Amino acid sequence: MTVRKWELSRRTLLRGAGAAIALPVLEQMMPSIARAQTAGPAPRRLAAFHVPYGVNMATWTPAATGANYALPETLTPLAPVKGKVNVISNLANRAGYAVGTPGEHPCGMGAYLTASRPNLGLTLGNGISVDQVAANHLKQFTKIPSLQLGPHELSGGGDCQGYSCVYMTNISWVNGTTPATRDVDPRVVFNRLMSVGGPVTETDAEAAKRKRQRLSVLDSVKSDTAALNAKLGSADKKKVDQYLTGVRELEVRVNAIDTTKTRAACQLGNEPAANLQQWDFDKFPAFNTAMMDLIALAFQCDLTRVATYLPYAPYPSPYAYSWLGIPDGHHDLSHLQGTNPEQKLTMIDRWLVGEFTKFLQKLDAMQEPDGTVLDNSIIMYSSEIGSGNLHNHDKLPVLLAGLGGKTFAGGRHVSFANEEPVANLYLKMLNTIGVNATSFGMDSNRVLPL
Amino acid sequence: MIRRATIVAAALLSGCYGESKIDVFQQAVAPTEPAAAFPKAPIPVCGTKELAPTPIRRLTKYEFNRTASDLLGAPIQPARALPDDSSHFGFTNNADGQSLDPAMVERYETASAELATALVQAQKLGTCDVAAKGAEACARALLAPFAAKAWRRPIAATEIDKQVAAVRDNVAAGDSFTEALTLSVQAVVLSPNFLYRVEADPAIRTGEPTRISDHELAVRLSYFLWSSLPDDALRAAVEAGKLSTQEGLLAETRRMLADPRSKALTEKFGDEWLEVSKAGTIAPNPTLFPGVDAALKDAMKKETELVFDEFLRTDRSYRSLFTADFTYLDDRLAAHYGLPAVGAGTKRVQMTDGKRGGILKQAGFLSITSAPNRTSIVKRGQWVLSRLLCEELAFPDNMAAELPKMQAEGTTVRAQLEAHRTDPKCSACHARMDPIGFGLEHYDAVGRWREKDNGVAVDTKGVLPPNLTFEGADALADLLAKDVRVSTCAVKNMTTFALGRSLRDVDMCNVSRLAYQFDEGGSRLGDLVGLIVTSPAFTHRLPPKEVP
Repeated sequence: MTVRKWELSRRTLLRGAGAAIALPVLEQMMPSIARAQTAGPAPRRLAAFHVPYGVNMATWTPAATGANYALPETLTPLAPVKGKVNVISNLANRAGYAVGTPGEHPCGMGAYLTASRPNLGLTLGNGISVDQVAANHLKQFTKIPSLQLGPHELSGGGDCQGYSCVYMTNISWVNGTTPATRDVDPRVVFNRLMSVGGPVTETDAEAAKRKRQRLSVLDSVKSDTAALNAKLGSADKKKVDQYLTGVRELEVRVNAIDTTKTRAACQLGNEPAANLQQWDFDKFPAFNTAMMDLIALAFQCDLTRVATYLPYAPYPSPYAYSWLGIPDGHHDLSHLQGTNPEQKLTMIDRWLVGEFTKFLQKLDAMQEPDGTVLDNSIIMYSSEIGSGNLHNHDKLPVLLAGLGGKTFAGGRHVSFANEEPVANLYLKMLNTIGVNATSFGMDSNRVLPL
Repeated sequence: MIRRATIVAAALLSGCYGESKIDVFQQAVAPTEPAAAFPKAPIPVCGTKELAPTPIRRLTKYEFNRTASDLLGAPIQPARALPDDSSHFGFTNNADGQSLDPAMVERYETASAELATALVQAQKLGTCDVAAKGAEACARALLAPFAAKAWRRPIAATEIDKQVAAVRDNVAAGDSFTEALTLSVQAVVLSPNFLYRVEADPAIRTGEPTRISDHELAVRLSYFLWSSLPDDALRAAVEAGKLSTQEGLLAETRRMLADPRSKALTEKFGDEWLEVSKAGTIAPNPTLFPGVDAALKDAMKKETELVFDEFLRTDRSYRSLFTADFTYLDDRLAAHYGLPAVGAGTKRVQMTDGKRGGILKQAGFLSITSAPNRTSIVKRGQWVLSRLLCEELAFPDNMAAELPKMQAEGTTVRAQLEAHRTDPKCSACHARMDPIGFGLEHYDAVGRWREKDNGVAVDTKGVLPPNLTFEGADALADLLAKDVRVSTCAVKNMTTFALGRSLRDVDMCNVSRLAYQFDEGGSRLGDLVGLIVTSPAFTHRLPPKEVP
């Protein structure tokens, strides 16, 4: 029996990620169309993170610009990776403003990564998000087109200020009417990553059988779907067409599985704890770490090159950072309620930056032939609003981590003139991963110079 | 006496009321007399033309799991790796908010494989002598009735040709019959015929609504009441033509409402309407509110569910949901409320001190509308306005500057908000929300009774918009119980859930008519179910508009 292994670890060495215990091994994750046997440039990855309710900008923005700026209070945790992060100031997302008004959260959230203005009212309408443009290009190289992590849905209620609540929990959009499927449970994500390639001990023959069986099922479903579509009116057909497209896409991906190729193993680390839910907020630190670890490992194992992470939706939520000794809810504080709200916001913002930094350090410990995974990534960390109490969509807090394959320098505070569209940053991110787009969203006008 | 103020809204009336002038928004004007004194206004006449189009509906995650469990005859959650459905204008089953990306198909592939394996292992398709009859004949004999059940309609033999041929081919390729059958069962439950609730359009489209088939009506009924597929009895009723008559339709509705599976109506419709599913996810500050653990949160959710369920199944008027003098407690929640223990399990308990009972005095509502460390008068008021009165507040369009900073030291939340509302930027909405929430200030952020907030005696004087003054939760509950707006709002919510789509202006005639009938009949939620399922919106279908 040939125990098939996975080719990736030839170039990606695990140097962190708690390897003390015997680790589960992922198998056969790479479609045959991927980077074959030849050493090419390391893969570029793109990710976007969201921090809810904006930040306390007073302790976020560095006083000086350029390469030798001093880290301000909120950003002090970044010190170990400062040279591989740029702080970018004065970007704006005009699409986040509902027409003529400051931003409601749903409108801002919908526009966060699309830089397109979401529809008000009963019909969904938005643009494609930057990560999904990237995924459309990069999915040819990996088993999973993209990961969208979090948040849990707090179902019920129509309280989204005249917008669909869909915008509140979905920042990744595959097109104007379709949010990208997201995962809310770290263990489910882990198991999915594990299962994508099949059981560890699967033989070539078993893999071939599984592939044949999957294709057989998809073939039946495909012809069913086509037959049904012929009977439907055009509006319904459009919805079922989405399904047909998905079935066909899955069929292509299953077809691409090479069941005979011997591969080296890539270790995914430990299975996350069961029942980690972001709303079980005292466990949020563990949830947050687990989600970011999954992105790091999926990047390292080259299961995907695109990810987004929204830890929790900015509803007037009940979340209190009690482990920091803060009794007030994050939302209350963002509206400067309670005692010393600015100080507490800074504590929260800094803690979140610190956790993000740990993630970046993990990426930076993952060595590739031409640098680290962090060197080869471009990762935005921001919010759909600037200051929580202003709900403003200009002067956004933006960290840009990674060096995009060392195509630009890190360690700088780059400040633009007011109203520099965040869409320009999205163009920069896309260009970095090989998509030569020239416009994005509602208001891009140049590739952000970095 | 409650008068139903007539508000002429031309866009909403379009041909809907004939000669009669019936209210559309049904604003309450100084309700001072009991609800029984509703005037006999002419009942709105709505034809079947007053309908918005019906989009195709995909099973929600909840519906998928319930449907799977009913097919298996045992609880199973094959859709657990699917993302939660997002709420679109109140409900997760709203087809207007449904879409699907390619990544979802892979999740469905996994879910369908788990379901198919469980079904075949449990021999839910029956058995067949493969040695005697051959794989292909057996496949057809087993798959045909199963597909009809899973797809919730009669099927043509040719519709499963592909799945039958696949059994033959997979056996030829080396699979056992059981393996091959499992794959074709998977194909049946991965089919859009299973995942989508398909309603056929008439061959000739007139642009007018047509009555749906009895099979389709049965499916609407079962997903409304059970979030699952029709059972054998409902299928038999369809075959016997019973759903073609109003009496037959109502008889099935009563039977299904009495069936334990209708718990889904409380779990989905009730929970999402009243948002009490959020009680499971509250996170009050553990220092200020120690001991709010999973068991207590569960008891909070259960209290509202059980009370709601009782209202759904008994002759009680929906209006007394606000004024009820009973509730459901376990020991955990009783202790939380400072009430005597009830013994093992959850018990229905008569309330005597006026501090508990109606939905406004339940810890679930009171907690989900609170911040971790304090009550939120604003959110409580907003909840009453949006959930009970269906009044949506737009975000202020003049909020050009920062909200005022609040000082918490030594003041009540009420006092802070009073200051807040003097700001004209805030007052437009807060003048409607806050004075409702003031009335509930005897209940703290986790729903416990209190006399003081921040050391100062609470003041529960409030106003229910537009101008109904009251003091305390009981008085607010009495006002709501007499307010005609609550019936229209209940109708809007239940109709939205029943149809699985947002209501449009053109639907409002039907809503007004149902609200009228609902109140005339005593405002019972069980009756409202019957009114909705026999209404044109439920029995008819207007195909969605053609799109380019």
